[in-house]
Amino acid sequence: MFAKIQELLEKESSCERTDLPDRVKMKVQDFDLWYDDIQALKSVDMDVEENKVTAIIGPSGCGKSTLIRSLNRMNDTIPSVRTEGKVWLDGYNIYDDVTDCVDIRRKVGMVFQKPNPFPFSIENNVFYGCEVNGMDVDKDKTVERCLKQAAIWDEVKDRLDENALSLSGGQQQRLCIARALATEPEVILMDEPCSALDPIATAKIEDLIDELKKDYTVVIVTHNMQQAARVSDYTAYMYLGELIEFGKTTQIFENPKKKSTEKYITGRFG
Amino acid sequence: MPKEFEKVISRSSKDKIVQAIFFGIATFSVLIISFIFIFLFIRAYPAIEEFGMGLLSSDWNVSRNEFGLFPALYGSIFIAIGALLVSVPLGLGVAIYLSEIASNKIRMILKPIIELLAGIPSIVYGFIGAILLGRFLYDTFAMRGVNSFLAAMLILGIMALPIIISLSDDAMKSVPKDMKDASLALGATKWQTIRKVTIPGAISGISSAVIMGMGRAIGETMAVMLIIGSVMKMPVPFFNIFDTGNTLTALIAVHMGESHGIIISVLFTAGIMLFTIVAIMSIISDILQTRTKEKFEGKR
Amino acid sequence: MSLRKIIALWIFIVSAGVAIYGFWNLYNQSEIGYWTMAGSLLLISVVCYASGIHHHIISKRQKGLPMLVYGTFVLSAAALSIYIPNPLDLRPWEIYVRIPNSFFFSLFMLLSGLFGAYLSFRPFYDYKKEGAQVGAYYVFYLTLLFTLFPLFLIIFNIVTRGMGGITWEFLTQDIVSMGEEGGVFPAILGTLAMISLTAIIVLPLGVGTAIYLAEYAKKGLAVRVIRTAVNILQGTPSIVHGLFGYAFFVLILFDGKKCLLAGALTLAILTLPIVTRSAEEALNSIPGELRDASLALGATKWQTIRKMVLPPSLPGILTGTVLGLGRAAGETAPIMFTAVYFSGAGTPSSLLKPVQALPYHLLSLYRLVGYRDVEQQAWATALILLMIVLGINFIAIILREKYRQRF
Ligand SMILES: Nc1ncnc2c1ncn2[C@@H]1O[C@H](COP(=O)(O)OP(=O)(O)OP(=O)(O)O)[C@@H](O)[C@H]1O
Ligand SMILES: [Mg+2]
Repeated sequence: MFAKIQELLEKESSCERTDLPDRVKMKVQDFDLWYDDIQALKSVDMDVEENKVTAIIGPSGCGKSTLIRSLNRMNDTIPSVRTEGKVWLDGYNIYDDVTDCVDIRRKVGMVFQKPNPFPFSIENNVFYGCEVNGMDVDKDKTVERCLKQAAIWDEVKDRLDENALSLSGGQQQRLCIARALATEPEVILMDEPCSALDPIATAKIEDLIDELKKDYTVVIVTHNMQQAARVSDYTAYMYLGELIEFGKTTQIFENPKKKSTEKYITGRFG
Repeated sequence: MPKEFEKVISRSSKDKIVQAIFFGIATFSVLIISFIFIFLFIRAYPAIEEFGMGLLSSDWNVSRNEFGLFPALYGSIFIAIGALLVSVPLGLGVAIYLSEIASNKIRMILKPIIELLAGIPSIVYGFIGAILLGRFLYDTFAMRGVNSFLAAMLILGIMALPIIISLSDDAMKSVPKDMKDASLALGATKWQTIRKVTIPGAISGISSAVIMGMGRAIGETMAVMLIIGSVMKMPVPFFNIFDTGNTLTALIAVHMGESHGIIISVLFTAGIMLFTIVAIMSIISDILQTRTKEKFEGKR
Repeated sequence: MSLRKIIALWIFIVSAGVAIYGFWNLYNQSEIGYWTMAGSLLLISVVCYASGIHHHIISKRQKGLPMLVYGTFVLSAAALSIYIPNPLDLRPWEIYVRIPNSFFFSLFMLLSGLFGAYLSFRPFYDYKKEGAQVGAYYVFYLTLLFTLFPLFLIIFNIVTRGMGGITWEFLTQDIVSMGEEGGVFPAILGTLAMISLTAIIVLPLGVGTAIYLAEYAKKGLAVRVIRTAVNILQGTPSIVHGLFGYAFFVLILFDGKKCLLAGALTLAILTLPIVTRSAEEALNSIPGELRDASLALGATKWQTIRKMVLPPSLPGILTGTVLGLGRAAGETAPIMFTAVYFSGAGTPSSLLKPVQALPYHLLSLYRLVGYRDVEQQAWATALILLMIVLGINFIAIILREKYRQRF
């Protein structure tokens, strides 16, 4: 109790810093993560380049979701999680004690596997992030900008006050992307954003990702290797909590250096 | 081949019989509800026939054969509202704490403790309320006697807590985690998420909890009877929480043992009123609860 | 360590101290002078002013305003309350109470302290979102505290006041001269007999209903009606059960005579929805694949239920039943007109004879308090009743924990 107050009182010092190489937006450095006693990430190192799409692939249960959720400290919401190592964002360590994970999540937006709009109107869904972060922006303009960026404006512009749950699955997912854009993030994380969608909706989202990388840095988890090959510039291959290989997508897919990567890419892992 | 077939048929027809038996058992609850209503009505009928709307007046005078139940009805509702003013803020606070904030370990400790609150018999609440709380208020406010609406409201407020806590806890737990995650991922704090996503999502479940709590307070008998004093009159002025009065439940409990003839019938009328009010509340709360569940299940 | 945080911490400490002091005085009904109250409130306003001025003037930020407003508010409340008459006599308005100054003063201290502590989190976290969150958490902790406090008071009082009355004689002797002498043995026995009988009646009914709802029919009109009936039954006031028990069991089935069986039947109706619901929950927690696997092997539905579904859900069903019985053991209203006599019933000898029961005995004793010397006996009876009921609940919780581990 007393130690905690002491700690809170002294929590004024500044955040740990480093200089990242040019064009590197985020850097994961020697990062470990445990769920209770089970180690789900084993000293992962990875660079995320600015205005590029980085894909994370690997078999089920290898830790893709865990890794991507580490990039905006969403894992903090699970009580059993313990971490070691650093993740740098623009040269700041987001795992430093003084960083506010709420601020991090504003800068690093996230789109989930299942579309999860809130049960309120479309425009309130989009504006939610601005509202909770106390951002002083014009509501209508923000809603329009984000919905346009997420390529869903034309479909919903006449029904902005309708409940978001009435949209189709693919529309819901694009709405979730629009919602993530509203807080003006710099990085967008997507955890299998298309796995609950049909091929046409998937194609729309993929086009959208291509658009988004002009303004944002995108990290995407996917099960679908064609998708990774289509949309990403860099690919990370994970297996059993380790990052086995990381490199340009063309290199990973055309001439992987590791046997394990090659096996996975050529389809020998179920 | 035919022989084996026969066996299958007989086994499955036996299954039909078993199912019919279970259906029979299951209809028991429906039967009981109808029986309660019918038998209460049979006993209440003489009074309803004799006094009609006079039963809803506020004049109760046994020697003049006046049996207006309004003071008791008013008392029941007055106390229930007062009890809710105590239990809703406390109950919601605890429910939010339990379902959204407390760690699993703390939750495991707190839940049984709160169930303990539900486990204490109402006669014990009544005894404590009359002897300790009644005397405490009597001393503090120099009242005329130990019985008061205030004491009843406070005790009933405590008694309604467990049901409000557990039902709102359920309601908030039924808001999908990925919705809460989405809010956190947008940079909302946990408290903002609770305020803007969890509570609005669970609102019909929470209202159902409040209604159930109110039903509990209206139907509570022994505790109220000992604390309120059961004097058949309206509080003067009507909002006077320091006055004594009566409730439907206390009226029945006190007079049933020592009355004869038509009064018994009047008491059964009070019982029907009580049963109807609480049954309607149960139905409303049930509908609200189902609505919360369907809201999120029908999503995909 | 910034000045802002230190001032905020001081606001918290001073406010919490004043709140605790006010609560303590409220609880003890102690006399509090005007100057004690005014001094405490002055302390709060001083620290609030310090924080407000620091923020507003020195740091040149607008956010200190609430602190200045609150400081002024507390100060003026303290100043104005000198005009509260002592005691505040409401009799001219036909409300027969006289509220002494001490009550208001303690209340002011409690409330202003609690709110001051609440405000202290914002400056501590530099007016960020986090401060609002910690403030909200503080409110939740308070609600928890105010929920647990009465529970503690109730248990503490019953245990300390009842302990003295519990002797071996009290537990084992007959009730003599309406409880003033002797013990409560017949009442204990009566209660135990009644709930055992209730268990025997309610178990098949409740489990049967649950099996129908969980295994046979999940949808449809009949199910809706049954479910609604169970819900209504669950909400039905216990006094209504008592009236029904009297109108149906006593008057029609047993010729106008109260008896053990009538009481147990009434309690069975009271516990039926509790047993049904928990049994249904237990059945629903059995994974569906288990049933499919059994059905696919050619077992009939009933065989599947009997062999695959019932055994693992038994602990859950028992837990619910035991919880329901705990509730039944403490009920007074349903047995008052159906089963109990307040004296002279003796130990239960037949299903068709009236009995004594602990909750009703407590009621009888309460009615004698002030006329005869029975308060000690009443507390002791309350303690025994509480121990029986909580003991039953404890068994249920242990059962449930065991059951949790299995799945
Ligand atoms: N909340 C949790 N508690 C405990 N263990 C977990 C938790 N979440 C994930 N794990 C474990 O951590 C490992 C990695 O899980 P993760 O969800 O990151 O895999 P994934 O690569 O995203 O799999 P998928 O492709 O199936 O989504 C798995 O072995 C999983 O069992
Ligand atoms: Mg995953």
